[in-house]
Amino acid sequence: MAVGIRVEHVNPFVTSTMETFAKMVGVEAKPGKLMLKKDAKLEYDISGIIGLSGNAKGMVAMSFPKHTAVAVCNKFMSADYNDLHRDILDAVGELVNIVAGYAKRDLTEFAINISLPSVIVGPNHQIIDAKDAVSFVVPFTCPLGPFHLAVSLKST
Amino acid sequence: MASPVKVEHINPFISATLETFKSMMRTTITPGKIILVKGAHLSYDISGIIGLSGGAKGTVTLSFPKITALKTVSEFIGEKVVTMDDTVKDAIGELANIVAGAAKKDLTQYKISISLPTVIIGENHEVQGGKECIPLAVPFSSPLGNFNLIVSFKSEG
Repeated sequence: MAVGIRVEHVNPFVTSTMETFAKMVGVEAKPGKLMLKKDAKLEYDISGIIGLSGNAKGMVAMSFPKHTAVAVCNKFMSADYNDLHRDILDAVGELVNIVAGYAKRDLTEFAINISLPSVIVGPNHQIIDAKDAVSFVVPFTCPLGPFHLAVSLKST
Repeated sequence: MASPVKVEHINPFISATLETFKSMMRTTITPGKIILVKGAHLSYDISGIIGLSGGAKGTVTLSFPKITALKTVSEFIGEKVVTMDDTVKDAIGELANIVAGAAKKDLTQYKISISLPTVIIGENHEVQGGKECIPLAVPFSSPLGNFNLIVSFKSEG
């Protein structure tokens, strides 16, 4: 029996993002108002994406402007880079991996498995979700800058 | 420690891409020399990404320059497209889906399930992996233009 995708299914990802930032980055990340992604043309400099499969399929992405990514990952790794160094890319992949890993524990009804991360780098890239999925975006603010969490799900 | 994808794991994806282009676009494509994505600075205009999970984890990505994407999708849907519209985005996601689905059949021992496709739009974006696995890129040449297949794959056991 397919389960309808609801806002509640995004909550585990929001919670795990907050936890990950508190524990791993050492800053408080505050979620803003959840939006349906639909026609919003959102552009980013760097995104970490993980595919989800199981009784629901989809993806989770964390997308950053360059300055936020560099600041967050420097703090995460105790590093001091000025640009999108290879280690910053790895760290973005690792952060989304941790967020997806935590969140899947709270989505037991979907028995979700997660893929390896892909890291997209390129000024003003857009992430287009599968058209039959329900896609949400949660804007976050933190002392290191703004970023977005996006979750796209379809029950199978 | 990160290690690159094993050859036996990338071959099913190469075969699946060859088959998909042959059956869907009636085009013979030619794989070139496999390259390590890390440090290669390969950039694209549109990419279709599928996550793989189950007894192995990975990703499969088809990445195109704009011109190849437009020609490929025109051939795929049997109608000429000239701008990167929703039709092109959907079709690129669908192609990645078909390739991942076909490759899965040759990797049954890993009981792989595939995610929904995600499509990236953005001039000159790069598609990199995380630190668990170094993705490999297979450059393909075809009458429709050049494009890359990018695979990361890590068996868990």
